[in-house]
Amino acid sequence: MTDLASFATTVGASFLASAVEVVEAFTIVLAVSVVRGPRPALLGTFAALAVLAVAVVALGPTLARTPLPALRLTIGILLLVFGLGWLRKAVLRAGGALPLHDETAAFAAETTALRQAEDLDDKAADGVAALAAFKAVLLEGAEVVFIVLAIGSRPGLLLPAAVGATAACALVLAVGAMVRKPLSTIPENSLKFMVGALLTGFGVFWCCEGLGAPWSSGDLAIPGLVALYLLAGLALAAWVRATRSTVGA
Amino acid sequence: MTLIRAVVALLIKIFAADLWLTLTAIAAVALCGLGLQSHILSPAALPWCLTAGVLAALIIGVARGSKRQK
Repeated sequence: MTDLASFATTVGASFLASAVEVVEAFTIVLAVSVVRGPRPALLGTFAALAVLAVAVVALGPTLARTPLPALRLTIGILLLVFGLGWLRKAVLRAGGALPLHDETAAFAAETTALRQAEDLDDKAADGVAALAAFKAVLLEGAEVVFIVLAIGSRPGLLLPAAVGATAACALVLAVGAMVRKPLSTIPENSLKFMVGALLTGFGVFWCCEGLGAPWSSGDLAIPGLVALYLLAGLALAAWVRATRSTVGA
Repeated sequence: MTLIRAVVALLIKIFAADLWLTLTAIAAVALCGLGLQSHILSPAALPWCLTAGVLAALIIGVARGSKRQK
């Protein structure tokens, strides 16, 4: 039961977190492909993936040499900072205090910026476009790598975390290739809400393990922690909405 | 250069966009660790204290963010 709970939570967390990042990277790569064609888009994407692969290979042995409690505490704190930031922003967006992230607007902004570079000669314009794709895939990909390594940092959980991330990449790319436009209908804020709660729950769990005071219920504490932060986030979003409508009235 | 700027912007976005929230989360973990080391907090109580501390950080972070946007 515990194994199944750990497996399902790890795959789910990795899938959702990766999906959010891949959607953002896909928007930029698509803009590059629309404005300058598939060549610079693919060049930038594969170059970024190669850099990420080298970073993972270089970082792996260092992580393996770090003492386990210190590694868990560090990962726990990073997940907490990451997760709380996402959750807070998603709550404020759901409550109407911050505007929602709009993939269509991001796509329009990127295509406008790329078209401005079209005054340059073909080679230079392709270089600018490839760099835009490279930057997007590298930055969003780095977040995916961090999330997969952090969520899968327990023995036996790296594979399910990698499976979740790969499934998210495959799904987003398949849907993106079919519709060939920004994936703006994906409820990104709901995903970020869920992922924020997941990362915060994992963060608290890892911090406790790193400090040498694990939960008595073991891995089963993770779904409970995630549910707690999700419910708290929903309640806070309702509170933000209510206070804003009171101020607006 | 553009890439370095983007990497720095990403790090700022992750860790310093709401510096207060980052510091509160780290403080909650540090206080729990210190409590455990000085035997003020038992190993059984620490997970509950940290859970509550993180929840408090979230509530205050949202309240601050919502007030700033009004």
